[in-house]
Amino acid sequence: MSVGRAGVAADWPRLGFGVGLRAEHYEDVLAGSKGADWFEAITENYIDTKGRPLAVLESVRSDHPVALHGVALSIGSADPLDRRYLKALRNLADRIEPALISDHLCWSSVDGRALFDLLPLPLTEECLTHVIERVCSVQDFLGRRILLENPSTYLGWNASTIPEAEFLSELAERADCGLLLDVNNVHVSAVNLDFDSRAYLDAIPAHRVGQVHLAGFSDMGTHLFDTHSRAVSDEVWELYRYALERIGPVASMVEWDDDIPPWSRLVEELDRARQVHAQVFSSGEVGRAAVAG
Amino acid sequence: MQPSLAELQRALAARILAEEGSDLDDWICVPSEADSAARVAVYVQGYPARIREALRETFPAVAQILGDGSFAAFADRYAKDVPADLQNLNLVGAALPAYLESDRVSGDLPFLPALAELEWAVDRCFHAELLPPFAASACSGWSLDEWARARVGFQPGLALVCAPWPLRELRETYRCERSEIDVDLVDRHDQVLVYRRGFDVVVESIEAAEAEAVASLQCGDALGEVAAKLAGSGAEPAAVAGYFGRWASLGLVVSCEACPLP
Repeated sequence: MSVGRAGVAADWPRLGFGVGLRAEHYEDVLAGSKGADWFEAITENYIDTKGRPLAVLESVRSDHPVALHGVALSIGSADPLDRRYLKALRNLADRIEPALISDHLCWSSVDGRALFDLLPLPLTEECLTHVIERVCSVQDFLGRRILLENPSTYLGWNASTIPEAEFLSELAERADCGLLLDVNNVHVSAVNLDFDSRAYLDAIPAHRVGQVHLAGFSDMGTHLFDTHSRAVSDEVWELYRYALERIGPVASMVEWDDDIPPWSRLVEELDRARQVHAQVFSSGEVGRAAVAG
Repeated sequence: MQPSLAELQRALAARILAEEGSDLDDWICVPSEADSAARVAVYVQGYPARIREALRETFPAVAQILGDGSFAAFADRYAKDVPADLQNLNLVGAALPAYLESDRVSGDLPFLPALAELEWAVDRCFHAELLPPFAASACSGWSLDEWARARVGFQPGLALVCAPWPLRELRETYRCERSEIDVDLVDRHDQVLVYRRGFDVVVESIEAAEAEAVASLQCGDALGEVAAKLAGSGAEPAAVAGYFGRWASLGLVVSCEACPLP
């Protein structure tokens, strides 16, 4: 991937349609089952292993592009960056040569204690400056640009003064990083925190979006929960269509992490993403806003 | 004055970790019709749930023997008492065998710490690097004296777990229904060798003398010292040659070097 000039959509690799690489599908993938153009691997499942998981990842990488997607960078933590983690990530990246490296706009540890969650940040100027500095440090350390994903959110902070989409936009421009747009998370957070999901997408700089996530949520009655345990909902497919119209062609993938279905069912979901993509492209509406915006 | 980033994060962390004195409720916001307690609960309940799930995956036999309720309660005590300082859920069980030594569940089930040690060894072996095996041709011309001074290095994932319980049989209980678990514990001392064959982890019961030899070599003893220890414990000292040959044929030996004379 070129890391030179910022703000050009073509900088991001056009990977097509991918899925999360999960142990439940190792045999299918290694047997050459078709359907996915690329795979996204959860970084933490591969940085502390030299056993079968890493061998599978290397085998997959020999035939397909791979993206590394982390959950433990804790980019917004008040703690110092975790150098052990960053070294492990860099070693894995050097070994795998991923097409993309991503993590989340969140924090997951404080005072050295890991909380194993994607916790919400106060969207303030103080926090924005803090995250920008850390993204720059991480990118310098890795020698690559990273993408940050909008998380699913269940509560906000009174201290927040910047809407999340604006926060991400400013962050991406000032840190020269990319964005991983999780369309399901936009929908979940929009319902949970009562904002307009399309206005959110309108505020995202299209040229910064290097990847899109699709997933299923669960309706808990009091809120939507980002479970990744079922098919993508109709609302999210519609939002995906809207996002594509704004962003243009972009690497898209389906996450399914709980109640994981057979490979063939996962491919059906991916084929639906392909259909939406094809419909948007054939309509001539693709990238209109991206060019304008 | 607005709280700092660190103050906000400590407040949410304190609530998640069930610690006292969090100002969280004054600092969070949810839509007017929403239940803030339900929203905070997403994070508060997510933390122990993820740790329970990770521990259950790493220690399936311990979980099966304890049963869902007891294991969940135990995992919650562990999560509260043993702060996770590494950002990887796959490593969260590192201190669990030692923690079990003093936890109340081991009172009635005293084999649990050793069983947990075995399950942790299996997990680490699965993720360990597999180094090129030692080439026997490298020492084909060695004298008996050189063999006696030889120190042996094993594959990084190799582990030995010994206990006065039938560990290997206890580990197999994760495959059966809890109501069907029936393991005779009396006079069932077991020495279990954990190693990799390809990507598969092998869990093998070995005789006491072989276990003594492995333990001695892992401590850095030379083969001659191992033979002397075997003789001291009433075993056949020459057996070490047979053990070495077996380990080498399984690819468990990665180095063998004759130490210089003192």
